[in-house]
Amino acid sequence: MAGKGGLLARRNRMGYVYILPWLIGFIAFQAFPIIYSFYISLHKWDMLTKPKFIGWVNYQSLLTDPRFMISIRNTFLFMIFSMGLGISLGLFIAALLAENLKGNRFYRTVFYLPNLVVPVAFGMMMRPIFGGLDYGLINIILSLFGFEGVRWLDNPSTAIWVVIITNFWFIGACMIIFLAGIKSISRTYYEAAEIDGAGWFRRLFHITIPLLGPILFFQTITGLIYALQIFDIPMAMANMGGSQHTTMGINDSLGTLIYYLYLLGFRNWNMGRASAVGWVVFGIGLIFTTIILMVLRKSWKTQETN
Amino acid sequence: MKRRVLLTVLALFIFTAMIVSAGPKVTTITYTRWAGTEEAKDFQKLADLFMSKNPDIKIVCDFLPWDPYWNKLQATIIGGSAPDVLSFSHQNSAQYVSRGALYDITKLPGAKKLLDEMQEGTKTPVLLGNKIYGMPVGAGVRAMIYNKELFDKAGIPYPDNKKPMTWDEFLKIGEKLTIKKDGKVVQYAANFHKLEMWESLVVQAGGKYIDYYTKPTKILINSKDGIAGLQYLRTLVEKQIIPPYEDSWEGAFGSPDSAVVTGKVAMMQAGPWALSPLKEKKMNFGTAPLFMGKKRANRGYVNFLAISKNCKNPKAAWRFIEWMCGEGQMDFTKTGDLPANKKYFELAKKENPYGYPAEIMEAFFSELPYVITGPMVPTNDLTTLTEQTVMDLTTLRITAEQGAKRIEGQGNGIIANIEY
Repeated sequence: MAGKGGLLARRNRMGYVYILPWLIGFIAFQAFPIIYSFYISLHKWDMLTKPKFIGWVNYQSLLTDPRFMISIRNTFLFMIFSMGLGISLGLFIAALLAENLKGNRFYRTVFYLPNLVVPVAFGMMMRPIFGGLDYGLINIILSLFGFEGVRWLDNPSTAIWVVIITNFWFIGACMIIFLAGIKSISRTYYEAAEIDGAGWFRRLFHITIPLLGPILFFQTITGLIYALQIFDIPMAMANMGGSQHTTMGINDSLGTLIYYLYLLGFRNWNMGRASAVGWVVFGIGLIFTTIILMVLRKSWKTQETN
Repeated sequence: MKRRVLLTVLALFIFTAMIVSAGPKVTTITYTRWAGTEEAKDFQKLADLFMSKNPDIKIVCDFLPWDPYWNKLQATIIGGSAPDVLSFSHQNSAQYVSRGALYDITKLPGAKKLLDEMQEGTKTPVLLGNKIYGMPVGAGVRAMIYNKELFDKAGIPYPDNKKPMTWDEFLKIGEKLTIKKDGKVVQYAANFHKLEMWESLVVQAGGKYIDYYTKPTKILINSKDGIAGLQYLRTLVEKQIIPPYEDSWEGAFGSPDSAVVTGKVAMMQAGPWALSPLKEKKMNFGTAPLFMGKKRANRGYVNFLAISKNCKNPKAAWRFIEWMCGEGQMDFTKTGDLPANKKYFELAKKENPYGYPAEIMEAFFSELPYVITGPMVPTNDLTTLTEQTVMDLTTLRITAEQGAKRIEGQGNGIIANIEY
């Protein structure tokens, strides 16, 4: 018995040795900064002087901060529409491309191609498209039809929609994962369904989507995390003039939680409050992940029972 | 015999090597500054010139574009690995000066004397109490740069290059220089840096934005004169003499520093650094002082050099700064800033080392005594507030009264919470 225990302990020790490089990296570059950021969120700290303990003040002040409210509203809108529509459209396109249609490979490439472009570049490209009244492409098109131009990027009620639309360019990444998932589903299910007379939509809803459960879960969680962290596209859209502005577009119209965190921490030297925003983002992510997990588990259980 | 010759040769070789290695000791210092690709070449030349005159000091330069420069500077100062000699523009320096991130140069030989030689308006950003944390090297001053061809087309005489226009005169020519086609503006009279222009206008109107630039206690903008300044800016947008905020930086009308180059804007407010593209494009341009209200005022920049707190050779770093802010000023000024040093400012006026006719440079020189710098406070909240308000004002979302009231109300709250 003792011998077996000794072997197991030795094996465990060796296991820990093997994962040690990763473990050190994780502790130094992830676990420690995460814990330290919580410590900092309870302090007033400008990075140049010693942190001063202020308790929960940073969190409380966020509740009455209008810039935080705009950022949280925009992030939620982006999360719901970008993630929701992104996953639905990505799945739909993947299901279409999984069929043996002519030119499939060409379309797969076309849909995936925008993912090779850096999001910041996309953000900058969108400025002249959705930009000013006189030179913005969309406004020029609108004026051809007799419509008045809209200041898309400078209005808090329209700016975030431009970010959401811009993000659709990256639907290819979502599509490619779904496509791989669909391809791994056994053809026999589809053939049986076809013999029974099931159409394309019925096959999609009754075979493809239920069998893509784990992939759907993965896409939802990664989509949620991505949406919560949206920063580069709005920043590229808001950053005008090559100057270090301290606003997130006019009236903070392009504000998102991480953009605000960046401004607070690195422009306003308020690292305590920035860390508090970081923990709010973490909290939101945790709550939504739990809800999604519970809903999906319930749905999987129902499927298994059926 | 052979052995003796060999030993002698060896001894001579070792002796020569010792003499060579015991030559003057070279101290290496690192110097950083924001600069575009072309500007970087000019600043490298400056460093080379210093090294040729001071062979015992080697300058290792690190030049970066504007945004990356500030990001890197912040990271290196916080991380304790900042270069030895740092460049600052006054509006991005208050946090470093007031939080003890810079070396106190007060006691370095000649520091106080050199500061006395500087233009009055350039000293504020480097002083905290009675301590000196940097040395002004240059002043960024903007004047009006105009396209003569567009003035000719409109049949308007060129502005005087010595006497500033009044607000009314500027409005009059502005209305003539803005051209519309099918209800759309195809040519603007001017494009300005609005986030800075507003303060010039408040002071020009006889008002004041804030009581003190260092350690302010009260916002004063919500006065009759302060509102008049903001209202003038709003009127310029309303009358379409200048583009609204959204169109100031991109699109057909360029940016405030490049507007005239587009050929679709008659005037811009920019510094000598904006002249070279005009020259390259062979444009027929002139310069004039900025217009004035009850008095003259022009928001500008003070650029200064400082030593980082972790510098291991502050004396060598100080020698470089001393040279840049003294003897090297005539070469430094060719990079676009006017000399901060009074003696070299007068010399530059006389010798005109800029490569442009004296009548072009005159407007910039005439503006320096009227330069205002804005508050030096260790928080960006005040800047955020004024930026947001001016954006709203110059997109006609709020009135001048609302703007002044907002800046006063929220600004006083921000000031009250600043910890020094």
